[in-house]
Amino acid sequence: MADVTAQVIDISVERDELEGKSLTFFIGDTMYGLPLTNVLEIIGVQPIATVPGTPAYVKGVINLRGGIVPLVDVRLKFGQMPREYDDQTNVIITVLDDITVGLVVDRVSNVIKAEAVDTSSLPEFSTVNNNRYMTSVSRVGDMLVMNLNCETILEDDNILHIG
Amino acid sequence: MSVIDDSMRPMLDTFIFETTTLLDQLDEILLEAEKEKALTDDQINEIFRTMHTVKGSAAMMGLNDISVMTHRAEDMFFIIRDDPSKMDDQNTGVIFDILFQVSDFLRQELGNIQENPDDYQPEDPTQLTGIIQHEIAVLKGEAAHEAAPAAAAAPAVAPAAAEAPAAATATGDHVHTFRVFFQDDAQMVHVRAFMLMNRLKEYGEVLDSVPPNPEVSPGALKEIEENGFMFRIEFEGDIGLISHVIEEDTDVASYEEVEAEAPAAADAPAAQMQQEADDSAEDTQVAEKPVEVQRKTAGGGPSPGKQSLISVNQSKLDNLVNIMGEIVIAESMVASNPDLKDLPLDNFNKSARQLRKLTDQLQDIVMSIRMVPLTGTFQKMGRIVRDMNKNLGKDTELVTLGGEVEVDKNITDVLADPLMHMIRNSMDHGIEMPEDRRAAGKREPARVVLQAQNVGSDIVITIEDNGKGLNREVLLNKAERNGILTKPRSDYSDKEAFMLIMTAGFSTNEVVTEYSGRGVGMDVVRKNIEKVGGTVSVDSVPGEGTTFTIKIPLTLAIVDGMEVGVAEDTFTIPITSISQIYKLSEETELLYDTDGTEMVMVRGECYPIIRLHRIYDIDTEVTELSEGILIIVESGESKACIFTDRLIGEQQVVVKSFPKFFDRYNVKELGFSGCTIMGDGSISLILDINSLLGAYRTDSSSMVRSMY
Repeated sequence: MADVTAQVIDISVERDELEGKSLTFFIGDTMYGLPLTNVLEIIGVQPIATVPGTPAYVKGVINLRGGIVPLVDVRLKFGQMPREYDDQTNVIITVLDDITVGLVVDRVSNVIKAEAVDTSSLPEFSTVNNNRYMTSVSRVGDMLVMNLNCETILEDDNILHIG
Repeated sequence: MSVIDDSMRPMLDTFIFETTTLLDQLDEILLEAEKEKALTDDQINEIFRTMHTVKGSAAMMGLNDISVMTHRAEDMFFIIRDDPSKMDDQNTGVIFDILFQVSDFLRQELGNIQENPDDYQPEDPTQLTGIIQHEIAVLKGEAAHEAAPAAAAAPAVAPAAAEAPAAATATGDHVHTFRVFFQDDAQMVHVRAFMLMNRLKEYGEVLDSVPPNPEVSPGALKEIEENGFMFRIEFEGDIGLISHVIEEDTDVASYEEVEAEAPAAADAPAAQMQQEADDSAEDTQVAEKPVEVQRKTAGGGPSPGKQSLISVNQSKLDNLVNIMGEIVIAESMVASNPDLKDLPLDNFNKSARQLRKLTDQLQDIVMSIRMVPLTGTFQKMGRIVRDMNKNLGKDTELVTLGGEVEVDKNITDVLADPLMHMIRNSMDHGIEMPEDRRAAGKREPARVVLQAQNVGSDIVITIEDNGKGLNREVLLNKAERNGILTKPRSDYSDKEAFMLIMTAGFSTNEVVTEYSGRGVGMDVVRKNIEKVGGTVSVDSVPGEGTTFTIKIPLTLAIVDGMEVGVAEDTFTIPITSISQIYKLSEETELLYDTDGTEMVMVRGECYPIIRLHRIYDIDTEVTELSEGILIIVESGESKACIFTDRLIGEQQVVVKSFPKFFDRYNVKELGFSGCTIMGDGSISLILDINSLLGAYRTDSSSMVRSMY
């Protein structure tokens, strides 16, 4: 899986080809999916400059080819325990509107196609905070994929806001 | 001698480029509007402004034909703007025709200038201005259409077309002739002669020289080497000043002032000038056949100046800057690659050093492409003040400060126009006539001070005049008459009343002049500056003067910074905010105020201490004041000591604003103005001392208190 690190998704690919596909990644043992249309590239963890006065899940900023890109640790964003970054830790550079954010994930898994999976909308099952970050659940083989909502992930989260 | 002043030559390319762009826009509007057979209010305003801008910059270049033409067109649109209903079916077609003719005329003139800047002679605008004049009369209801062709040739409306060359030939008692010899070992004396002439232009008008246009005319080099360089300068005042300027030139071996009567000295220039006077006289008399005049003067000039400016898409530049950053990082990754550790790599290191040198150079160039000092913009203003002094009979000096402040190219683009308008406004409406000043008991000379400063994360430009100031009541009366008051008069604060002059359609001067126009300028000023996120404010003391303050945020600017480290993090403190850096000895006693704020006494002054690691909640091992570094910073009146772990070094950094993502976290209020990418690719946050002091002086005391 480590070779994914170096792989940059070719954004020149027609948007149509990206439509309906998801990039999957792991936080702990849970697999999450992110719409491929929002993904710019995948990079390894780089030196981070912390920005004081931001919530803990905003890890800081990195230098991406001369651009300043903020990092959000998805693990912390979901309220889970922090984990030491290792060589499997990846940063998924996502773009939403004109905001670019790097999402720190435990490891990147795969690209899946929507038609190959069995997708169902989320049950109204809980008031758990995480719920608002998800749009649906898909089954891929024997794994479940939590499809994430890019917009809510990049939104500020008052509950976790420190400061 | 050319119509175009030599000192304006460097700006010629810019002028042509800008004007051509404006004309392109104008044509686009016209074509679109003609299809609809009507002009919208926006289009009318846009045309009006285009004419106004072209008029302004043409007047600055001394191109009277263009400025006269646009002035007339502007007049016409003034009427239309006032009452769009005047554009009835009958008039619309005529007006469009006229506008296209104006546009064609301007293009032709620009083409002529570009082709042959040295021998350019302005085309006579009389015919066209006559037509416009007539149309104005029609619009005003004073004339009927049928008479149009007759009015066209009316010499009565012949404007100042030929005034410029004629004025340039004016002679007087203040004309001095000098002959200068350069050092034998001086290189390229013709260029030095040109430079000397340019320097002298600051003091007086260089009327002509032998050889003329030394920097371009072939054979000038030899002639100057043999016979010296001779010029005539019109200068009022102590001629010793001119001598001094000549003496200051290190390449000058000797010089003499030649009596104007001396035949050898005066002959050539005088003959030349006579010719010139004839030409211009002919120009006015034979207004019906301007083409002929032009053909006569256009023959056999030196090779045409090619446009040396190209416009580059901004996004390409952005890309270039980004890639550059990546190259620098890649370079250091290769050169200090851990795999190479302990290997004998003499040749590799040599090549790597070479590469580093080249990338450094490349980086400097890339950065400098986008950054330009304001000097160029400021210089243009000098010219405006000079010309206006002459035309208005005022005696104003322009003082420019801070021209070395570097700003992003797009900021200078935005600034040039507003500054021009504001200086004009100050000159025209602010500065009084000399006799009025004397009557008011003002001893000091009339002065306009143009100043640029880097203040925190803004560039602040002030235009300050010591004229008559703004009169609140007059402004309010005028605004009331124009119906632009939005609330009862008494509710207007002084500042709000002053701001009225920046409102569209407002003008305090009853008489329309070539310079300040009709209040179109000041609202353009505000619009242009607000477009880039800036603000304009006005302050005035009646009788003492008016100050305009423009504040523009830096989106990209280079700042001299001191890099400091706190644990793993680095921060950049702008050097301009730092007054002292020092290390405390262990014996130094700290003081505490009643809140428990740590303070330190340095040379009799007491400074509160702001610990960066504490306010930014950073884990560091350096918590003893004697182990770290104290940096005394000041911003305005407030001063404080910033405590950091260590100094890293001084570096020029490019300010990048925080990504939009951080807008929600108020990082600005925490004392950050932006971030920057360091040579090794790491990111350093730039401290804004002003807001840092504001935010933490009180905070740190409460934090300290909670510890004790």
